Amino acid sequence: MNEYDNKIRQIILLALLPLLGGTINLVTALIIAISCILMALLIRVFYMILKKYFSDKNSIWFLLLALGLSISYSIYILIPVVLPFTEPYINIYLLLIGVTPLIYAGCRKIKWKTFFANNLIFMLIMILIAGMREILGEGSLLGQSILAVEPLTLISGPIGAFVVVGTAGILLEIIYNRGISK
Amino acid sequence: MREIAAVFWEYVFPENILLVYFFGVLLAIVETPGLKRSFKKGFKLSCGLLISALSGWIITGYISGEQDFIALLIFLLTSLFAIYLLQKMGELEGEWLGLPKMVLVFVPMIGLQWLAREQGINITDSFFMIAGSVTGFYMSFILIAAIKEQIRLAEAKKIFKNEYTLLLAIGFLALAVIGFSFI
Repeated sequence: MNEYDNKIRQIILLALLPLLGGTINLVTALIIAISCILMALLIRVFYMILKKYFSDKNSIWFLLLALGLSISYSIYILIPVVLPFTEPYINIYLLLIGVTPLIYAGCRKIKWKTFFANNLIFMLIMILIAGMREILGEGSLLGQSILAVEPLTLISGPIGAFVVVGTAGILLEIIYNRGISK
Repeated sequence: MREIAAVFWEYVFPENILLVYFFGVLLAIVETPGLKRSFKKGFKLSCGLLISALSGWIITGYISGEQDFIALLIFLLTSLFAIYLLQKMGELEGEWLGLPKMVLVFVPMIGLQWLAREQGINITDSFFMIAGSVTGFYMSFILIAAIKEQIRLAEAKKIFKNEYTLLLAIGFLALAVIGFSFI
Protein backbone atom coordinates (compact mmCIF):
# COMPACT_ATOMS: atom_id res chain seq x y z
CA MET A 1 0.00 0.00 0.00
CA ASN A 2 2.88 2.35 0.65
CA GLU A 3 4.77 1.59 -2.53
CA TYR A 4 4.34 4.76 -4.49
CA ASP A 5 5.72 3.08 -7.55
CA ASN A 6 4.04 4.85 -10.40
CA LYS A 7 4.01 8.48 -11.48
CA ILE A 8 0.23 8.87 -11.86
CA ARG A 9 -0.36 7.54 -8.34
CA GLN A 10 2.21 9.96 -6.96
CA ILE A 11 0.59 12.90 -8.75
CA ILE A 12 -2.91 11.96 -7.57
CA LEU A 13 -1.74 11.73 -3.96
CA LEU A 14 0.30 14.94 -4.05
CA ALA A 15 -2.66 16.80 -5.55
CA LEU A 16 -5.41 15.00 -3.62
CA LEU A 17 -6.91 18.19 -2.15
CA PRO A 18 -7.45 20.04 -5.46
CA LEU A 19 -8.58 16.78 -7.08
CA LEU A 20 -11.25 16.21 -4.44
CA GLY A 21 -12.32 19.77 -3.75
CA GLY A 22 -11.45 21.70 -6.87
CA THR A 23 -13.17 19.46 -9.41
CA ILE A 24 -16.76 20.45 -8.66
CA ASN A 25 -17.00 21.85 -12.21
CA LEU A 26 -14.68 22.27 -15.18
CA VAL A 27 -14.15 26.05 -14.87
CA THR A 28 -13.11 25.80 -11.19
CA ALA A 29 -10.83 22.89 -12.06
CA LEU A 30 -9.16 24.84 -14.88
CA ILE A 31 -8.62 27.91 -12.65
CA ILE A 32 -7.13 25.77 -9.88
CA ALA A 33 -5.02 23.64 -12.25
CA ILE A 34 -3.52 26.65 -14.07
CA SER A 35 -2.85 28.45 -10.75
CA CYS A 36 -1.24 25.30 -9.35
CA ILE A 37 1.07 24.91 -12.34
CA LEU A 38 2.11 28.58 -12.29
CA MET A 39 2.74 28.41 -8.55
CA ALA A 40 4.73 25.18 -8.87
CA LEU A 41 6.89 26.91 -11.49
CA LEU A 42 7.43 29.97 -9.26
CA ILE A 43 8.24 27.85 -6.20
CA ARG A 44 10.74 25.75 -8.18
CA VAL A 45 12.48 28.88 -9.47
CA PHE A 46 12.58 30.40 -5.97
CA TYR A 47 13.92 27.14 -4.55
CA MET A 48 16.70 27.01 -7.12
CA ILE A 49 17.70 30.59 -6.26
CA LEU A 50 17.35 30.28 -2.48
CA LYS A 51 18.89 26.84 -1.84
CA LYS A 52 22.42 28.25 -2.24
CA TYR A 53 21.91 30.60 0.69
CA PHE A 54 20.38 28.15 3.20
CA SER A 55 22.29 25.42 4.93
CA ASP A 56 19.35 24.45 7.19
CA LYS A 57 16.71 22.45 5.29
CA ASN A 58 13.82 23.39 7.59
CA SER A 59 14.26 27.15 7.22
CA ILE A 60 14.06 26.97 3.44
CA TRP A 61 10.84 24.94 3.67
CA PHE A 62 9.26 27.42 6.09
CA LEU A 63 10.21 30.26 3.76
CA LEU A 64 8.83 28.44 0.72
CA LEU A 65 5.55 27.66 2.53
CA ALA A 66 5.13 31.28 3.60
CA LEU A 67 5.88 32.36 0.06
CA GLY A 68 3.47 29.80 -1.41
CA LEU A 69 0.66 30.81 0.92
CA SER A 70 1.21 34.52 0.18
CA ILE A 71 1.13 33.91 -3.57
CA SER A 72 -1.98 31.73 -3.35
CA TYR A 73 -3.71 34.38 -1.20
CA SER A 74 -2.86 37.02 -3.84
CA ILE A 75 -4.27 34.79 -6.61
CA TYR A 76 -7.39 34.13 -4.49
CA ILE A 77 -7.97 37.88 -4.10
CA LEU A 78 -6.87 39.00 -7.60
CA ILE A 79 -8.56 36.49 -9.93
CA PRO A 80 -12.17 37.63 -9.20
CA VAL A 81 -11.05 41.27 -9.61
CA VAL A 82 -9.18 40.75 -12.89
CA LEU A 83 -11.65 38.22 -14.33
CA PRO A 84 -15.05 39.03 -12.76
CA PHE A 85 -16.82 36.14 -14.53
CA THR A 86 -14.74 33.69 -12.45
CA GLU A 87 -16.13 34.88 -9.09
CA PRO A 88 -18.77 32.12 -8.71
CA TYR A 89 -16.09 29.51 -9.40
CA ILE A 90 -13.61 30.64 -6.74
CA ASN A 91 -13.48 28.58 -3.54
CA ILE A 92 -11.20 27.90 -0.59
CA TYR A 93 -9.19 25.32 -2.54
CA LEU A 94 -7.69 28.14 -4.60
CA LEU A 95 -6.39 29.69 -1.38
CA LEU A 96 -5.08 26.35 -0.14
CA ILE A 97 -3.03 25.54 -3.23
CA GLY A 98 -0.30 27.44 -1.40
CA VAL A 99 0.00 24.50 1.01
CA THR A 100 -0.77 21.68 -1.46
CA PRO A 101 2.19 19.23 -1.61
CA LEU A 102 2.13 19.12 -5.43
CA ILE A 103 3.42 22.67 -5.84
CA TYR A 104 6.46 21.81 -3.71
CA ALA A 105 7.10 18.55 -5.55
CA GLY A 106 9.07 20.51 -8.16
CA CYS A 107 11.72 21.22 -5.49
CA ARG A 108 12.81 17.59 -5.56
CA LYS A 109 15.77 16.55 -7.69
CA ILE A 110 13.89 16.19 -10.97
CA LYS A 111 14.58 17.41 -14.49
CA TRP A 112 12.60 20.29 -16.03
CA LYS A 113 11.16 17.83 -18.56
CA THR A 114 9.80 15.62 -15.75
CA PHE A 115 8.48 18.68 -13.92
CA PHE A 116 6.46 19.84 -16.93
CA ALA A 117 5.29 16.30 -17.70
CA ASN A 118 4.04 15.86 -14.10
CA ASN A 119 2.13 19.14 -14.22
CA LEU A 120 0.62 18.30 -17.60
CA ILE A 121 -0.55 14.93 -16.24
CA PHE A 122 -2.03 16.72 -13.21
CA MET A 123 -3.94 19.13 -15.46
CA LEU A 124 -5.30 16.29 -17.61
CA ILE A 125 -6.46 14.36 -14.52
CA MET A 126 -8.14 17.52 -13.16
CA ILE A 127 -9.97 18.03 -16.48
CA LEU A 128 -11.00 14.35 -16.65
CA ILE A 129 -12.38 14.25 -13.10
CA ALA A 130 -14.04 17.67 -13.26
CA GLY A 131 -15.63 16.81 -16.61
CA MET A 132 -17.00 13.54 -15.22
CA ARG A 133 -18.34 15.24 -12.09
CA GLU A 134 -19.94 18.14 -13.96
CA ILE A 135 -21.61 15.96 -16.58
CA LEU A 136 -22.86 13.33 -14.14
CA GLY A 137 -23.63 15.65 -11.24
CA GLU A 138 -25.08 18.69 -12.95
CA GLY A 139 -25.82 17.48 -16.47
CA SER A 140 -23.73 20.32 -17.91
CA LEU A 141 -20.26 21.06 -19.24
CA LEU A 142 -18.48 24.43 -18.81
CA GLY A 143 -21.74 25.77 -17.40
CA GLN A 144 -23.74 24.85 -20.54
CA SER A 145 -26.55 22.37 -20.00
CA ILE A 146 -26.01 19.28 -22.17
CA LEU A 147 -28.35 16.76 -20.55
CA ALA A 148 -32.05 17.17 -19.89
CA VAL A 149 -31.68 15.68 -16.41
CA GLU A 150 -28.99 15.55 -13.73
CA PRO A 151 -28.10 11.84 -13.80
CA LEU A 152 -26.36 11.56 -10.40
CA THR A 153 -26.60 14.70 -8.25
CA LEU A 154 -24.65 12.93 -5.49
CA ILE A 155 -21.52 13.14 -7.68
CA SER A 156 -21.32 16.94 -7.20
CA GLY A 157 -20.96 16.55 -3.43
CA PRO A 158 -18.08 15.31 -1.24
CA ILE A 159 -19.16 11.65 -1.59
CA GLY A 160 -19.07 11.94 -5.36
CA ALA A 161 -15.57 13.41 -5.16
CA PHE A 162 -14.26 10.35 -3.29
CA VAL A 163 -16.03 7.92 -5.61
CA VAL A 164 -15.01 9.64 -8.86
CA VAL A 165 -11.37 10.16 -7.82
CA GLY A 166 -11.19 6.55 -6.58
CA THR A 167 -12.74 5.15 -9.76
CA ALA A 168 -10.68 7.37 -12.07
CA GLY A 169 -7.55 6.35 -10.15
CA ILE A 170 -8.25 2.64 -10.60
CA LEU A 171 -8.97 3.14 -14.33
CA LEU A 172 -5.76 5.15 -14.80
CA GLU A 173 -3.80 2.49 -12.89
CA ILE A 174 -5.16 -0.22 -15.22
CA ILE A 175 -4.27 1.86 -18.30
CA TYR A 176 -0.80 2.66 -16.89
CA ASN A 177 -0.06 -1.00 -16.07
CA ARG A 178 -1.18 -2.13 -19.55
CA GLY A 179 1.10 0.51 -21.07
CA ILE A 180 4.04 -0.73 -18.98
CA SER A 181 3.44 -4.41 -19.83
CA LYS A 182 3.30 -3.62 -23.58
CA MET B 1 -26.36 22.55 27.10
CA ARG B 2 -28.38 20.49 24.63
CA GLU B 3 -27.68 23.04 21.88
CA ILE B 4 -23.94 22.94 22.56
CA ALA B 5 -23.98 19.13 22.43
CA ALA B 6 -25.91 19.33 19.14
CA VAL B 7 -23.27 21.65 17.63
CA PHE B 8 -20.48 19.33 18.82
CA TRP B 9 -22.05 16.15 17.40
CA GLU B 10 -22.94 17.90 14.15
CA TYR B 11 -19.27 18.73 13.62
CA VAL B 12 -18.01 15.30 14.64
CA PHE B 13 -19.20 13.65 11.41
CA PRO B 14 -21.96 15.12 9.19
CA GLU B 15 -20.51 18.68 9.08
CA ASN B 16 -16.91 17.90 10.01
CA ILE B 17 -14.74 20.64 8.45
CA LEU B 18 -11.70 18.37 8.15
CA LEU B 19 -13.64 15.66 6.33
CA VAL B 20 -16.37 17.43 4.36
CA TYR B 21 -13.81 19.86 2.91
CA PHE B 22 -11.24 17.03 2.52
CA PHE B 23 -8.56 18.90 4.51
CA GLY B 24 -7.57 15.93 6.67
CA VAL B 25 -7.91 13.16 4.08
CA LEU B 26 -4.33 13.10 2.74
CA LEU B 27 -2.85 13.32 6.24
CA ALA B 28 -4.99 10.40 7.39
CA ILE B 29 -4.18 8.33 4.29
CA VAL B 30 -0.42 8.86 4.51
CA GLU B 31 0.17 8.91 8.26
CA THR B 32 -1.98 5.97 9.40
CA PRO B 33 0.24 3.10 10.53
CA GLY B 34 -1.26 -0.23 11.66
CA LEU B 35 -4.51 -0.08 13.63
CA LYS B 36 -2.83 -0.52 17.04
CA ARG B 37 -0.36 2.32 16.58
CA SER B 38 -2.91 4.65 15.01
CA PHE B 39 -4.68 5.25 18.36
CA LYS B 40 -1.62 7.00 19.77
CA LYS B 41 -0.48 8.63 16.54
CA GLY B 42 -3.97 9.90 15.74
CA PHE B 43 -4.24 11.36 19.24
CA LYS B 44 -0.96 13.25 18.86
CA LEU B 45 -1.93 14.61 15.43
CA SER B 46 -5.40 15.59 16.69
CA CYS B 47 -3.80 17.42 19.63
CA GLY B 48 -1.57 19.28 17.16
CA LEU B 49 -4.62 20.25 15.09
CA LEU B 50 -6.50 21.35 18.20
CA ILE B 51 -3.60 23.46 19.48
CA SER B 52 -3.11 25.23 16.14
CA ALA B 53 -6.85 25.80 15.61
CA LEU B 54 -7.53 27.10 19.12
CA SER B 55 -4.47 29.34 19.26
CA GLY B 56 -5.21 30.73 15.79
CA TRP B 57 -8.85 31.27 16.71
CA ILE B 58 -7.98 33.06 19.97
CA ILE B 59 -5.32 35.33 18.44
CA THR B 60 -7.32 36.27 15.33
CA GLY B 61 -10.30 37.04 17.57
CA TYR B 62 -8.56 40.35 18.26
CA ILE B 63 -8.18 41.22 14.57
CA SER B 64 -10.92 43.01 12.62
CA GLY B 65 -12.75 41.03 9.94
CA GLU B 66 -11.09 42.77 6.98
CA GLN B 67 -7.49 41.90 7.80
CA ASP B 68 -7.51 38.47 6.20
CA PHE B 69 -3.85 38.44 5.18
CA ILE B 70 -2.66 39.09 8.73
CA ALA B 71 -4.98 36.34 9.93
CA LEU B 72 -3.46 33.99 7.36
CA LEU B 73 0.05 34.78 8.58
CA ILE B 74 -1.05 34.10 12.15
CA PHE B 75 -2.51 30.75 11.01
CA LEU B 76 0.84 29.92 9.41
CA LEU B 77 2.70 30.78 12.62
CA THR B 78 0.32 28.82 14.86
CA SER B 79 0.65 25.86 12.47
CA LEU B 80 4.45 26.09 12.68
CA PHE B 81 4.20 26.12 16.47
CA ALA B 82 1.96 23.02 16.45
CA ILE B 83 4.34 21.29 14.00
CA TYR B 84 7.26 22.10 16.32
CA LEU B 85 5.37 20.44 19.21
CA LEU B 86 4.46 17.43 17.06
CA GLN B 87 8.08 16.99 15.99
CA LYS B 88 9.14 17.16 19.64
CA MET B 89 6.71 14.29 20.25
CA GLY B 90 8.40 12.32 17.47
CA GLU B 91 5.81 12.86 14.75
CA LEU B 92 6.09 14.22 11.19
CA GLU B 93 9.71 13.25 10.87
CA GLY B 94 11.28 12.03 7.67
CA GLU B 95 10.09 12.40 4.13
CA TRP B 96 7.13 11.41 2.01
CA LEU B 97 7.58 11.32 -1.79
CA GLY B 98 10.70 13.44 -1.42
CA LEU B 99 9.00 16.18 0.60
CA PRO B 100 9.27 16.77 4.36
CA LYS B 101 6.25 15.22 6.10
CA MET B 102 5.36 18.50 7.79
CA VAL B 103 4.03 19.74 4.41
CA LEU B 104 1.09 17.34 4.90
CA VAL B 105 -0.35 19.04 8.00
CA PHE B 106 -0.54 22.59 6.68
CA VAL B 107 -3.71 21.89 4.70
CA PRO B 108 -5.79 20.64 7.69
CA MET B 109 -4.32 23.21 10.07
CA ILE B 110 -4.73 26.30 7.91
CA GLY B 111 -8.00 25.10 6.33
CA LEU B 112 -9.62 24.48 9.72
CA GLN B 113 -8.50 27.84 11.10
CA TRP B 114 -9.61 29.72 7.99
CA LEU B 115 -13.09 28.18 7.92
CA ALA B 116 -13.54 28.54 11.69
CA ARG B 117 -12.83 32.26 11.26
CA GLU B 118 -14.94 32.60 8.10
CA GLN B 119 -18.03 30.94 9.56
CA GLY B 120 -18.05 33.61 12.29
CA ILE B 121 -20.47 31.93 14.71
CA ASN B 122 -20.43 32.82 18.42
CA ILE B 123 -17.53 31.96 20.75
CA THR B 124 -19.03 28.85 22.36
CA ASP B 125 -20.21 27.41 19.05
CA SER B 126 -16.83 28.11 17.41
CA PHE B 127 -15.04 26.29 20.21
CA PHE B 128 -17.29 23.23 19.93
CA MET B 129 -17.09 23.37 16.14
CA ILE B 130 -13.28 23.08 16.34
CA ALA B 131 -13.43 20.44 19.08
CA GLY B 132 -16.06 18.43 17.16
CA SER B 133 -14.07 18.59 13.91
CA VAL B 134 -10.87 17.41 15.62
CA THR B 135 -12.73 14.59 17.44
CA GLY B 136 -14.25 13.49 14.13
CA PHE B 137 -10.81 13.57 12.55
CA TYR B 138 -9.43 11.32 15.32
CA MET B 139 -12.26 8.81 14.83
CA SER B 140 -11.86 8.80 11.06
CA PHE B 141 -8.07 8.43 11.44
CA ILE B 142 -8.62 5.17 13.31
CA LEU B 143 -11.30 4.10 10.85
CA ILE B 144 -8.98 4.75 7.91
CA ALA B 145 -6.20 2.79 9.65
CA ALA B 146 -8.62 -0.14 10.04
CA ILE B 147 -9.72 0.01 6.39
CA LYS B 148 -6.08 0.23 5.24
CA GLU B 149 -5.25 -2.86 7.26
CA GLN B 150 -8.20 -4.75 5.76
CA ILE B 151 -7.16 -3.71 2.25
CA ARG B 152 -3.62 -4.89 2.94
CA LEU B 153 -4.85 -8.28 4.20
CA ALA B 154 -7.56 -8.82 1.58
CA GLU B 155 -7.17 -11.49 -1.09
CA ALA B 156 -7.53 -9.10 -3.98
CA LYS B 157 -5.53 -8.20 -7.08
CA LYS B 158 -2.59 -5.88 -6.43
CA ILE B 159 -4.23 -3.16 -8.49
CA PHE B 160 -6.99 -2.82 -5.89
CA LYS B 161 -4.63 -2.77 -2.91
CA ASN B 162 -3.94 0.94 -2.96
CA GLU B 163 -5.26 4.35 -1.97
CA TYR B 164 -7.97 4.39 -4.64
CA THR B 165 -9.84 1.56 -2.95
CA LEU B 166 -9.45 3.46 0.30
CA LEU B 167 -10.97 6.59 -1.30
CA LEU B 168 -13.92 4.53 -2.56
CA ALA B 169 -14.39 3.02 0.91
CA ILE B 170 -14.33 6.51 2.50
CA GLY B 171 -16.91 7.65 -0.05
CA PHE B 172 -19.26 4.79 0.78
CA LEU B 173 -18.76 5.34 4.52
CA ALA B 174 -19.68 9.02 4.04
CA LEU B 175 -22.79 7.85 2.20
CA ALA B 176 -23.71 5.75 5.23
CA VAL B 177 -23.22 8.75 7.57
CA ILE B 178 -25.54 10.84 5.39
CA GLY B 179 -28.03 7.96 5.34
CA PHE B 180 -28.05 7.83 9.14
CA SER B 181 -28.43 11.59 9.45
CA PHE B 182 -31.63 11.35 7.38
CA ILE B 183 -33.01 8.88 9.94
